[in-house]
Amino acid sequence: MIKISSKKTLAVCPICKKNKENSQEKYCKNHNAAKKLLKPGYLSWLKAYGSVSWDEFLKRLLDLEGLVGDFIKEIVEYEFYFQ
Amino acid sequence: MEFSYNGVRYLSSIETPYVLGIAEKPQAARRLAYALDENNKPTVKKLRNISVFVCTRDNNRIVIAPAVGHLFTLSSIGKTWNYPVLDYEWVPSHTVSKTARTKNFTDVFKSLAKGASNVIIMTDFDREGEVIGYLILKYLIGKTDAERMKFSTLTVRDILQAYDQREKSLDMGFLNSGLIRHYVDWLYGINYSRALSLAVKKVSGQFKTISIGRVQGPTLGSVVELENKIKMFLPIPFWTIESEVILDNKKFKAFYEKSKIEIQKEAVQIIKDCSGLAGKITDVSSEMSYQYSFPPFDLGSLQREAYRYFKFSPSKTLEYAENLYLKALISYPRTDSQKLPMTLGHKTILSKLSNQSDYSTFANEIISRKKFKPREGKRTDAAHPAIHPTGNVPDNSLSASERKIYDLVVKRYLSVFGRRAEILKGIIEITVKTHKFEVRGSKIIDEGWIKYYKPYFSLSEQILPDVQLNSDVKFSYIESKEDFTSPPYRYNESSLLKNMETEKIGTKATRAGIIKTLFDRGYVEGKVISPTPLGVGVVDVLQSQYPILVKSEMTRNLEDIMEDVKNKKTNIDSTIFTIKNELKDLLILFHKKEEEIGQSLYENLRLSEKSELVVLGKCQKCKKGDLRIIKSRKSGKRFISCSAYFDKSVKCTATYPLPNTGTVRSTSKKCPHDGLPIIEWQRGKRKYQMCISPDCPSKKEGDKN
Repeated sequence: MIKISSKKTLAVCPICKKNKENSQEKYCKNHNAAKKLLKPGYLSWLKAYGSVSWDEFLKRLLDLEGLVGDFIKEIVEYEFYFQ
Repeated sequence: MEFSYNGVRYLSSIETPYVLGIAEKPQAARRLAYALDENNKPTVKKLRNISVFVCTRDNNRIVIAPAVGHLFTLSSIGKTWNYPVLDYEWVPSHTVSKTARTKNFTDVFKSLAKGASNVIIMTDFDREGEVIGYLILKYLIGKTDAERMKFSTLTVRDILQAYDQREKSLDMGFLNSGLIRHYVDWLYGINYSRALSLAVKKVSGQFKTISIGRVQGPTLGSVVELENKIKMFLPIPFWTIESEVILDNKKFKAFYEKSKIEIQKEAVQIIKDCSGLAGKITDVSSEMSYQYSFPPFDLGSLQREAYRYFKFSPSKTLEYAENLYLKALISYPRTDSQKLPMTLGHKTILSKLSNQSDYSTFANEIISRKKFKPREGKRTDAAHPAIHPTGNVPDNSLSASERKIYDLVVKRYLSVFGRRAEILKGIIEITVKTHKFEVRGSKIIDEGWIKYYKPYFSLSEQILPDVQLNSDVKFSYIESKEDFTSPPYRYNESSLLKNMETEKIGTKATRAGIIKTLFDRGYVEGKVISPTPLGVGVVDVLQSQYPILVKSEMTRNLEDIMEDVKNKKTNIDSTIFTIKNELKDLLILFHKKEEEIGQSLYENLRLSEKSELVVLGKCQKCKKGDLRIIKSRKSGKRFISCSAYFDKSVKCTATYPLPNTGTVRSTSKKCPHDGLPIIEWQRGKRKYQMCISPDCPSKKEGDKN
């Protein structure tokens, strides 16, 4: 029989189901940090290509299997594709 | 004759009195005895099935008995399973570990103690050797000081020199620095492993051993930190210009002046400007470049080179090198030194190597040049020189792997006596409008040391044709290629070892073992090392709740403390007292957060257990078990097996192979041919769905569903 502590459990990250450090945040530490990287990443892509839409940027990120980090991929999939 | 010790009577047929020599291993005892005996014929006595050697030198009878590494281990004095545990004692290893086969060795030293008029410690000259010898001396022989032989090879020359120049007493600073490492590792290991395990038990009621050590924590921390960087990586586009020119009817790769172009528009403009594919030679230059030999091997560089060339793990390389040392073929491998002092007698070593057919040509060439000053590196080690061959001829007992390491050590040694390599490097500069391209060539003028070190290093040549300045050049093509920045590489065992060296985590002697422990505990996996969910879970919790255990500062500070004890700048007792107090404070802090840490750790463990177990569907063979993906932690290889294998009444042996690259996912679909699960396999952009059975008719038809 598993005894579960009565201590309150913090809400979990909807992507990885890990406890969120800060219940005010939508995601866990890692997925939050990944989400914060998307905007500066998009600006770098915009500078490189001259013009690229946000949607195109996200779509192409998902195609870069093996290069794009899992946390980035997961946040893109969760927030922009499957919601 | 009979001796009595602690009320127990022991038999020994050796005539007393004698000088007792303590060797670290049986093979070392044999070599020491054969070298020290005046007639090189020591008598062998079997005591408790252990060979003990009796030799005569300078009218002294010397009895040399072997240990088998450590015969003692630290154990807590109290018996309660709690923390903090701050009191410990040394106990014979066989009394606390069922797997320790040390009892007979312990008994032999006990039986030899009383007849010993004097003791010489002949263990390896490093901290561990000092501790091994001292503990036998103190707890089995009942003395606290002894003479000490210090040697770097087990050759007759070095052993006799070490005997003649032996120290009259132990270096207490050196010994204490070895002892303190044991105390600190034990204190940290036992307390934090207990604290973590109890924190989880308090929250879940379940007991699960979660161990973390003083050095393992930061090492695992580095692996997880790198993994996080990879998982957080966002690739940024860039472009390269790729081109090929024809010179003297041959094709050469031409390098554009910028290796990376960050803006697409600029890359497009370059291609537009160069669309005529015609350029002019605007400069031709050449210069001599020199390549010097690599420094002699210290342990870390030997381990890295053996990994690079043979893919031997650092722990295996150390094992093979130690065997070669015990066979008196190479010097002591646990060294940080890249120095080869002239006192080693290089001319003699090279002469001996010239008698081995594999090395005779190059050894003779070096001898004939009469330049015996090797090229050395910067690193030093007070105890030992760099790893070098002794010149002794290997016999047939060497394994294939040992022979590879031997060849590597000999060739590296020969290479440090070689001349520098001379390479003529040429550049042809081609200009197209305002854009510059370079064709690069190289010609080996003198191979120098490289020929001694082949095949472990070689250079390739590209001879450039003679060309006229201002002549026209035609390009085969000039193209721009879109690329993306890449995430950092994961560690392999060699690069993780290098990182530990850079971060000053652990010592030369312990690093390989620590990496192995991380694999054994299931914290990391694969040849390209990645942390397991368990490893990530443990580090995640510790990083947020108790970062000291996964940061390298603490372990680095302790290395400094050990150095101070060694140099007698600080006293061992006061140092231990301080460390215990600090640890107690840290554990009090841990205790305050115990429930929080336990809760996070438990959640992470549950998630890691879930993510480790991938169930594909019911087994079609036994109809009882589940088909699950099993992954070997060490090799990273995976396969599918039935969970009913562990059910004694079923013991289903159904297994199916899996590709070892790419990602495998469950699809919840069943194969229409045999009812087995269909998996999805993806590598890069390639993605297939297939039945798990290699004999499935769909595969014979060439279907990929």
